[in-house]
Amino acid sequence: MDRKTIDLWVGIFLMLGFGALLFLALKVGNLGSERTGDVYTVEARFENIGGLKLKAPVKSAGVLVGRVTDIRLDADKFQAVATLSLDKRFGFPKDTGASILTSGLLGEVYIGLEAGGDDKKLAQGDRITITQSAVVLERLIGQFMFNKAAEGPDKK
Amino acid sequence: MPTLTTNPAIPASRVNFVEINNVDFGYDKRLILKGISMAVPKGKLVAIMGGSGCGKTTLLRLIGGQLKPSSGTVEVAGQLVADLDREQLYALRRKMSMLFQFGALFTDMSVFDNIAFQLREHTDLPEDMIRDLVLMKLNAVGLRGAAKLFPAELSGGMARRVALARAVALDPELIMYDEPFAGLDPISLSAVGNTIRRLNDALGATSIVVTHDVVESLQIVDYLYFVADGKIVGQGTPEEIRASTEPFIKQFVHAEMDGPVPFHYPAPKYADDLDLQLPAAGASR
Amino acid sequence: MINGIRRIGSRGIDTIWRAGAMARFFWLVLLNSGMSFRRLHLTVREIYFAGVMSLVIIMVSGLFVGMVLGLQGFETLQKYGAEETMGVLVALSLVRELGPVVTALLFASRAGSAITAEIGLMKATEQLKAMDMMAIDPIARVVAPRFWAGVISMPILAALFSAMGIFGGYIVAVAVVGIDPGVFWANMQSAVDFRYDVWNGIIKSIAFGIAVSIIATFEGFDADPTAEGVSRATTRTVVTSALTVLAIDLILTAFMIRGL
Repeated sequence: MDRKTIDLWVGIFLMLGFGALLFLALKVGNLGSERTGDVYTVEARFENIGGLKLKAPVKSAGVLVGRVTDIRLDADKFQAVATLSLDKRFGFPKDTGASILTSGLLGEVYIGLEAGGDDKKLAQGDRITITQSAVVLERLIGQFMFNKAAEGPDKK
Repeated sequence: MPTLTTNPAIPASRVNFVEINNVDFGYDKRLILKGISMAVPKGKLVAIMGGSGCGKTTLLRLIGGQLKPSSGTVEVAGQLVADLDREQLYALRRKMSMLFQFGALFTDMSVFDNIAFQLREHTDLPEDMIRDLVLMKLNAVGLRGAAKLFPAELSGGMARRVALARAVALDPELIMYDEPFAGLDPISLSAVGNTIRRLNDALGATSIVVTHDVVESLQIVDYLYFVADGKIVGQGTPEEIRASTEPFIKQFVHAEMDGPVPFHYPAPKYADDLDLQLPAAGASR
Repeated sequence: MINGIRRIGSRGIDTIWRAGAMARFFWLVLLNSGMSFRRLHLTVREIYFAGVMSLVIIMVSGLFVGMVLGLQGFETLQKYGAEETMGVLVALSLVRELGPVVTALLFASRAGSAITAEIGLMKATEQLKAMDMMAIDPIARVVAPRFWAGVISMPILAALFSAMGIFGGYIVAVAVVGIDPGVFWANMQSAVDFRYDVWNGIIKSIAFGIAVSIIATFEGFDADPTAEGVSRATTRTVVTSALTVLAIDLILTAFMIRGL
């Protein structure tokens, strides 16, 4: 096997590999569409975030507009503070509301934004004040059982 | 006729390219070499002879620095081999070369590349000069036409000659041959033998041949050492050896089956082993 | 009984000895790696034998594994009415786990065993000793280029395996099951993260590349210089590589999940 043939094949091999990595990064890993320069971040406080995770999508009217980039606990008020990175292309009014939702019964947890009517837009570092916490399924069931139990004796 | 008398005015290391002084060598406690001393004068072709497994190859490994003696000294070109660090050893090894028993040609390279190998590794010569040098070496062993073949396509004798050409590729000062005649037909054998002699004289090199082929050695070498059981049991020029009445040498040179080197490995009496009742013993019952 | 314990003891000592010898060998290879990069064509040549020659088996296996994942995934996802997330299942399984691991196992048996056999044979026919006598270090000239070729080839092959697998899953999803291609990609893209999934997969495959290459070269270098010794060393390369790859996978996965 002479050196030129080997060089050619190894060149093809490396290019194929590079192509595959590019494919995994762009087409599969979706690296290209999340450039940090095109976003602004806002804060939202919740009493309970339920199963919300980092990187969870932020949707408005069902369309992906950003991601959750940070979750921490405010130790004074014992509230969860979620930082949302939103796409610069979408400007939301100041009185936009954020709620934690679940897509389907078992689906992923995401933050849904509902635009308000304010003329002013949310800007970098602003806080979303109207929030609705996650619906915790266990609590819901517990409440339901409690109500049932409370009803119980009356029926007899 | 070469003589081994040394001129006392010249330091020994200038005359003797290789000097082995009172060397013991062994793995664990079993000694393979016991108190070996020998000298190989510069420019001479010396044979180390002995039966199979008597430590001849070990001797070459000691000279090449692949092994270190348990005691005693090995001196090559005036340097104590055992004391050299890796870099110095590699520097020394550039002056020597070894022909391995089965050639040890690089199987993934053509004959040409095998011989060019050291030239490419150790020198910055341009490719066309390497080409000329390689073809010269191949011509010297009569295999210029086989340059493009691969080692797997060569016969045993041809492979040996290619290995020979490779061993002299860098014009070494010391060439060691490990069993260069083993397994060759008579024609290849004398071709290899003659080539060894010619290369030694043409390069002005010093050569050590380890072999048990006494007939061929007697024709080409200047001096012979006989090793048996890890010790030197005889030495001399080919004439002295031919005339020798020393029992071991006689047995070796004339290929007698039994002698100081017994045909039988030490064993209990044959009859006892077979549990034979000898008639005399039986009769007494 | 005593003999049994004694055998376990000697096996244990032997294993520890080999691990130590291998670590020392690894260090020697790293120390003597200069030549592999100064004379790049040595390494390129070995990339050809290790990487390019494994291309077909890796790509075909990747395609099949991806298609099987698609079919099996469909079976299960269908029960929850979630067959549209098939792309997610296929892509995540491949880039995080199957791509690096299966590639490493295939690489060990295709290229690793070949490297061991080649070096072992060079040892058995005294080629390594001859090289050493020529004042050329066999570790620098023979071992290091093969080691680096393996380390370089592995992530590339793993990426190709995953890419082919995702393509296989795509074929099953779109052509067999009838999922909309747009939905297939969109679901995949929203669930696969470059940093946590793709990048971690690449890190794994680099670790496997180092492990398999050092095992293959060590076993060859350490082989008994006989035909039998070389064949035993070849078997050992495949077995040791497989176990080591799976063990490293467990450790890395544990770390990567905690980091998340």
